[in-house]
Amino acid sequence: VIDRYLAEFERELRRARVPRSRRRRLSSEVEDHLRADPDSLVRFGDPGELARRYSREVRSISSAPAALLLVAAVVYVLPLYWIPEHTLPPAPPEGVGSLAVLVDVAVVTFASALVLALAAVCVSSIRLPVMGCSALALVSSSACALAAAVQWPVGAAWTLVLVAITTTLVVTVGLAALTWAAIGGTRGSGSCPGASPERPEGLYLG
Amino acid sequence: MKPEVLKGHLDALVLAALEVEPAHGYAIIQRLRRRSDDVFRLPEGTIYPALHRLERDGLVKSRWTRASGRRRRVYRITRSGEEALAVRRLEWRTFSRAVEAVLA
Repeated sequence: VIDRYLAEFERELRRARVPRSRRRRLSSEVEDHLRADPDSLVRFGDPGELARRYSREVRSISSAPAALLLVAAVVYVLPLYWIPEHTLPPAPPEGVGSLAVLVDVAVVTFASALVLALAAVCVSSIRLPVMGCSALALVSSSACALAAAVQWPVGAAWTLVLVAITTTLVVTVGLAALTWAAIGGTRGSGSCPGASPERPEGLYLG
Repeated sequence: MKPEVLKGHLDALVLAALEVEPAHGYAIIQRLRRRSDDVFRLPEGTIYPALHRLERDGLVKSRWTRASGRRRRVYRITRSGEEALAVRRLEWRTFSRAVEAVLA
């Protein structure tokens, strides 16, 4: 019965998208507990509910490394702003006004993305919304760079276009993965082999 | 007495149980049950998420140990945990005195 419970618990943890290393640790702890006191199986409750509860804890735990990865992503993009600055010819005189505005906006939004990413590392209570704002700023910055590239002289704009597209792809895919990791899943249900909602008398917490 | 009365005190109770000496999840449950004269019975499914939350907040630390051929995750309270427990104790005493004053 214990083995079936553990197998079901492992499946539910996987369904709840608990990371593998965390899953192993949780399973080991629960297994140790059950081997020491097999009667406690009935008090562990439904493995799906248990996995979802763990998932909620792991979600907040995993958001810290996700914020650090976001900082790394922002820092990775930084050289991509340096490359066109030092490889492209001067801007065409007829469009210099709008180009200057676009480049300025790109730089300001990039700086905002960096500041917000650093803030997300430091402030855990509002980490996810701050990370979202940082991602938005980064994508906006990339969009401005792309808009500037479109107006650049034909024949030279490919560098900037390439940089902007690469940046957008890297940032978007990376942040989607980060968000997925941070939010995790809360799916999962199922019956618990051997576990019963009945509990002996006493004062229960939680 | 309704279990809801004690909701919100789980972290403090777990920290208090770890204040004596490090322990694994099963031992913490037993310790709380013993110290409360069999009144507090933590469901096993509650203790581990609580321990992970406390570890995330830096109030406890954990490491694997080996006992009787089995690996066990043993938790110990940190200095931050001790400080948090002191604050919770003070809050609880203030609260319980106030309730006593009103209900008595």
